[in-house]
Amino acid sequence: MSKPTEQLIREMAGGFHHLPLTETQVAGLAELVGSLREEMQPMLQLDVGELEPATVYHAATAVSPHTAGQKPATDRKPEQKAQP
Amino acid sequence: MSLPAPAFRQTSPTGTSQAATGEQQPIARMVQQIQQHEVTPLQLVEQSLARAGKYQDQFRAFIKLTPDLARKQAEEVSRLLAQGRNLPLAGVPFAVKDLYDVAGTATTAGSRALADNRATEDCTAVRKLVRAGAICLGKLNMHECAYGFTGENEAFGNCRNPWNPERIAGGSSSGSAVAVALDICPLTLGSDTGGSIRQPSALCGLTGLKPTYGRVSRSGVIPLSWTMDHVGPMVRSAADAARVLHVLAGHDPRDEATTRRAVPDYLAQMDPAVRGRRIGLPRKWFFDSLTPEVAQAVEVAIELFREAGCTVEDVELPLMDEVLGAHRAIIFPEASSYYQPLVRKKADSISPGILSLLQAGSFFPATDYLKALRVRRVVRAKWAEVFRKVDCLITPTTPMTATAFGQETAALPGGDKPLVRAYLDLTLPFNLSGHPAISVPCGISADNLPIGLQIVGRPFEEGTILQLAGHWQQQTDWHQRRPPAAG
Repeated sequence: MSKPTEQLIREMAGGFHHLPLTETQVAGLAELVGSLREEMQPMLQLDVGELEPATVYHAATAVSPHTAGQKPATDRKPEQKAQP
Repeated sequence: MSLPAPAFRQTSPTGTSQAATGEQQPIARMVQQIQQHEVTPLQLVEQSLARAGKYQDQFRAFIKLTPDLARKQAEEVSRLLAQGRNLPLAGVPFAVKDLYDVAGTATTAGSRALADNRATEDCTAVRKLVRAGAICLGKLNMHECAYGFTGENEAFGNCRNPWNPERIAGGSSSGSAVAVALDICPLTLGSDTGGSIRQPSALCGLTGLKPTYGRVSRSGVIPLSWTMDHVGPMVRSAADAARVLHVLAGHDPRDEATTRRAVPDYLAQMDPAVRGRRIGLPRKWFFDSLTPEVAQAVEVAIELFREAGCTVEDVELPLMDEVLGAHRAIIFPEASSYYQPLVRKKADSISPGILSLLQAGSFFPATDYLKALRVRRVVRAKWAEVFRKVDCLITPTTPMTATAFGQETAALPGGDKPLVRAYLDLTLPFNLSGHPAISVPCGISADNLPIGLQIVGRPFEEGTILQLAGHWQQQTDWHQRRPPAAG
């Protein structure tokens, strides 16, 4: 278990009045969060330049190479379906 | 261990002679039977309810059956058919994971804490299915809050795998898999944030489709992680998945993530000629650590596609460690944010293991979450370069078959792996990226457990993966195999 993580969680939990935690729960959470943040390290160290976060909208409307050149989605009627 | 010989069909590689038979496509068959007056919607409902009752004690597929609603809907379908209405899913019984709102019933998310969460209207997906003539049987069991992958549930009982009740059914859409595997109904809906449609489909011998992020509305479905949640069908065959996706897909103003892209005719895109399709094999990460049986079954499938005229090449999906980290950095804070009010009010009614997961995201720095959203952009851009070279990827869905209850690690070549990593590492990348992915049965292990093959396509090109999955199912009969319990 990472001591700084446990300390951090203890301090944060103290301020979370909506989230009353026992000592045992704090220790368990510290271990869980610590191991998760270890898995996150490669991601945290990746250089992403000045990219903005991808929103839900970006994810759903990103154009794939195959559909590039199609009519803009906003020009279509919603729920337009091909008939089987 | 030895792998049973592949069960190749006797039809030619491009044959479609049995495409609409009941074993291949139970949904198509049921609709045909209804249209030809061989059976009534009410008869199908009664058959389904009887099977649901027969298996409930042992397998715990359902949290709640809605027989009155189902009978009422069956009568309505009969009335509409008598008026000459064309209903693409006429009389098809279905059930939904208990994350989906069905008017008049509680949506529990598999948790005691939500026992009183009564829905006042149907969610969009259920409304679309019912409008197409399908009939809702009830709400299916699941891993609590969709936050797990085994289907164990303290409140509603553990879902057991119909292929071996001592093994897990997978999850979190566990009841969704069990109900189809036991032939209670030919269609269920699941949800998938890290693999929760594809993994139980693989472990229970089904076809499970996670459409592209934004293809199907999640309005009225309890979230776990807004930016990675997907909903989709669990069925027997790719052709049936195509039928259902055509009904489900489309823009919904109630889910701002849904796209306004036109919905293609997915069935028409299932041309059996796959010659020329370019298949990529991301050997690194996805093939690193498989049980010999899974490895062999997947290689047999790859060889079949090669023989059908597909080009097959090794590719590398970059940034996999970063993908895993980004998935963690997104799912935990989003789940904690959504469930914060429930944790505040009803922590005592949430299972301790799930409660810890729901609390953990509160301790992630906001900067980590935002970094993950930025990394997602990099990942999508890098993977788009890979998808310029190939039409789809093929991987195993899981590196091993269903494990025993209580097991926490998987013994895999290269060493033991925590079960969460073993079961989700091959599926969760496409929740982060939003790519469509389907799992289809591709073998049976020596101890008689199903093996799953995953096909991943470009965003909004479900037609391609359905076509390849359909081709595979034209050539093999793994998807027609039934577990011993379903006799």
